[in-house]
Amino acid sequence: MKFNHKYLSLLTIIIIFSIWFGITGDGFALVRKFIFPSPRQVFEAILRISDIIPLDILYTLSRLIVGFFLGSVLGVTLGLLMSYSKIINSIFDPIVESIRPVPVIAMIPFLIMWFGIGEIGKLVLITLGVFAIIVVSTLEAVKNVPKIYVRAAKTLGANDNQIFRSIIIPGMIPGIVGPLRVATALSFTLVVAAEFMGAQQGVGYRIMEARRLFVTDVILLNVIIITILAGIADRLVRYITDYLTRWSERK
Amino acid sequence: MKDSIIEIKNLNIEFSSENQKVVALEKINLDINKNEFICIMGVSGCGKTTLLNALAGFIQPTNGKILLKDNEIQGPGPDRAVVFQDDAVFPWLSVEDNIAYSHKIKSKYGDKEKELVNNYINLVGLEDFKKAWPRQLSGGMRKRVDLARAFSAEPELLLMDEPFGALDIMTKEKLQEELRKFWVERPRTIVFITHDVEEAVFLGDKVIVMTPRPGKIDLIIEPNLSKNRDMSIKSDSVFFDNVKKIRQRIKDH
Repeated sequence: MKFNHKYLSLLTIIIIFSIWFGITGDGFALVRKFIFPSPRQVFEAILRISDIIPLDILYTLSRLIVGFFLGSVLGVTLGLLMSYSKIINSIFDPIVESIRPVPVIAMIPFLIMWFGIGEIGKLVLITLGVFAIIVVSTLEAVKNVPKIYVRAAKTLGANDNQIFRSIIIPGMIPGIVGPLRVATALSFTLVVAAEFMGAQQGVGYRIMEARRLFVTDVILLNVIIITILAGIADRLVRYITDYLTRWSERK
Repeated sequence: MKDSIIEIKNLNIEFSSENQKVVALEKINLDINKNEFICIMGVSGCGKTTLLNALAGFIQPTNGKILLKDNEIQGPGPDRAVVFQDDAVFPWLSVEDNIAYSHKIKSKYGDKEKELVNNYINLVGLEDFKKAWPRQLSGGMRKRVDLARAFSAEPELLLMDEPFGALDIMTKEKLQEELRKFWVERPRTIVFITHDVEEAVFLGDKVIVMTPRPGKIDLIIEPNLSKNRDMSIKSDSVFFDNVKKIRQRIKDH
């Protein structure tokens, strides 16, 4: 029975592809080439710009990985520190609470003014977006670690420090799996937005440049590239988090 | 020379919530001897869990005191391990790491500790599941991990808060037999809380019956059953008489 379901998904993909082919230039030409490029045009675009695609991907991914890594490490670290110490919590809570609801994209003009259009501004944007999600989720995940584990550890002789290392940290990991995937998806949005605001390379920059030159096949090609990258990244994050939570009931 | 390890002296515990004061325990006096197996028995609300929490150090007495080897109990400590009713086996540690927990956190896990932990793994019959995650075990097996973890910490006092309360009757009776067997093989001071009369009489060498609101000690019974026992003892008339006596007493409360 499992077989049939897989074929069903394949069928959906084939239908969508056929519709794309059918309504665009090489099929029944229901929409103009310029408005929505055909599969053949996109393929030709690959050949045309094949020399710059790898470098664009490299730039985009480097920004994304560094920003995502900084944002998650800072977010998890501050979240853990805030749940460990009431003093740290009181100091940082107002900051966290006030940046949490800010749509980071709205900060782009300021980021350009403060950091210019170089790499720093882009990293700050991605880091900030990821950080805001992760710090709040970490605090929540720590709160959700069942108290009974803490009590059991105490009666087995663990002090606060040992409880933190051996109970709180492993116990909170399942709680940030979901948020890490959300943050991964968000960093793709943010890296493209960051490259829109000014860059010399990158998938987002290429889209912006192609828009100025009205080369819509290049736009669509780059949209497809970033989508595939986001899909792969999500798989990778899921693979890693599945490994880290391999002990949990969820599976 | 006195052989009591725990002395509870004039223990009073009160909880106050908005303009209401609840006396959970009143004037509890009790000495517990080394390597004694004590069951504390009573209906819900008689304060038996409060007493256990006070022994564990989770709550402080309002009046009176509890001495463990002449030192007043101030908070939770490694000399008193607790087995709870709810599953408290750490799901992110393997069976072996759970049972070794109290040794591994002290970062001295040498050959001696390893052997001790292995002995307990064998004692609870989980040698084939050493590397398994707790989620792969049944409820009864997880309870065995919990018991072995508490025993392997080698505490002065083992506190058990209705540890078998959530298990089905077959598993429960099997674990009662096993717990009794561990205790005979590795004597420890055990305080076991339960509301199940048969469980209390089967396990304990001393059964303390408490009255509810306020919680007081009502009756102390020593069932005088043979040291090595299994479920067949339940058809013994001595067993039955003790159960009847306690049932009757609780009815009169």
